[in-house]
Amino acid sequence: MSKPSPLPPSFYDHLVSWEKIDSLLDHFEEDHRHQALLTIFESLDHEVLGVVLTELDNTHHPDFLHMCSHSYHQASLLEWLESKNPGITLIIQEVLVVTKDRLTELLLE
Amino acid sequence: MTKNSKSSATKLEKLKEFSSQVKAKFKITHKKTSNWLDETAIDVSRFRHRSKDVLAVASMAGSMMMQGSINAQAAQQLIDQTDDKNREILSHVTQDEYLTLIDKLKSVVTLPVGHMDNEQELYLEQQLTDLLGFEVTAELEGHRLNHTIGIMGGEQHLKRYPGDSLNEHDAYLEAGIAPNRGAFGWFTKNGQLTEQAIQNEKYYFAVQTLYLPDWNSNHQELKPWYKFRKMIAINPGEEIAVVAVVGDAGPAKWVKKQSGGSPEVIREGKIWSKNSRGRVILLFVDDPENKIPLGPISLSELVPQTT
Repeated sequence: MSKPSPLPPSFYDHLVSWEKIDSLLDHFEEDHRHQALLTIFESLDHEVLGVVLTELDNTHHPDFLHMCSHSYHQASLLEWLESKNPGITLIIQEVLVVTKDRLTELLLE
Repeated sequence: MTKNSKSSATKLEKLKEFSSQVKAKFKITHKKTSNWLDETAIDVSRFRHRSKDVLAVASMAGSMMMQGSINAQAAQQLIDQTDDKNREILSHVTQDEYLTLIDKLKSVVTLPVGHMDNEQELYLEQQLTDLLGFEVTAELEGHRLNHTIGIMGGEQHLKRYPGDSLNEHDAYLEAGIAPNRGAFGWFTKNGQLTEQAIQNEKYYFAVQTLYLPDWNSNHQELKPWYKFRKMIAINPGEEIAVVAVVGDAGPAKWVKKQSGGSPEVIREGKIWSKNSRGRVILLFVDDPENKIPLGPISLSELVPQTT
């Protein structure tokens, strides 16, 4: 799980199962892997932000987006989210698992 | 194209289609946020790719290649793409966007001294970053001054080394020289008056570190962080910005100014022109590799001219 991501880091990286990402990338030829990786994380970023905005009280949205701009790479952002909405880490984790499962299914079709 | 390669390309298309659907869902579910992100020209994916992180990934990608990772080629592509993005960013602001940005900066700079609200700050940081081609931010590595918007006063020259005198300085001698060294020490490095040291004294800011809420309890950590920290003063009244380093602490609260500028900063940045009257927006420059030169920048010249 500690494998470094060849992407700029995000606040939820430590929740990502890198083995699963690697197994998704195994579906691609070397030439396509970079694009595939970017596209996978584009989906994950949108899904994670989506669930955070859904779960987080609207009054915290401006602060959250502001922090995304400054501290998207810092795990402390997740701590802040957890302080505003206890249990949100588990929800994000679930979204990551579900999204990766959907991607696996898609690639096996 | 081999069978495997064709299959890989097909899967990539499927992946892209999936990503488009996720983005579309995000836009529908979070319409308000999505509209706001569109208005501020920010893409969700871009949170991840802001410059300092892009630099970090280049380093990480390099390290992955050293380790012979299977993703070495992907890492190289990422570095190449990073360079392309950095070049591309220079032309991100159109003439119309520039005029809108300057109008907003002009209205913000006349607000009471302090900080902008979060949304405004994020928008202006993003637009200025796009315009300048390097990242500027009100908060860097968890550090933030007490004022982003404020009035900048004129300072004197500073002594760069023991025994330095006014006549040793190049320009604006009428400003005089402070009797003591700056709060962050001599500008020389190991006793040498390097070109960097000369530039640092020419383009320095005085900022009110002494009034930071944690200064007294944490000055041992804060002082080295702020010493020669690169910042930028935006003077929308004259459409000029000046990049300089933190070279002194001050001014005192009773002066009713929130920062100070060296004679070069004040003159070349036209900080006290009729249009500006000292009002500036002061931001950090995220420049871990010390690539951004000090000195004035004419903002209007950064915009591609349409004929």
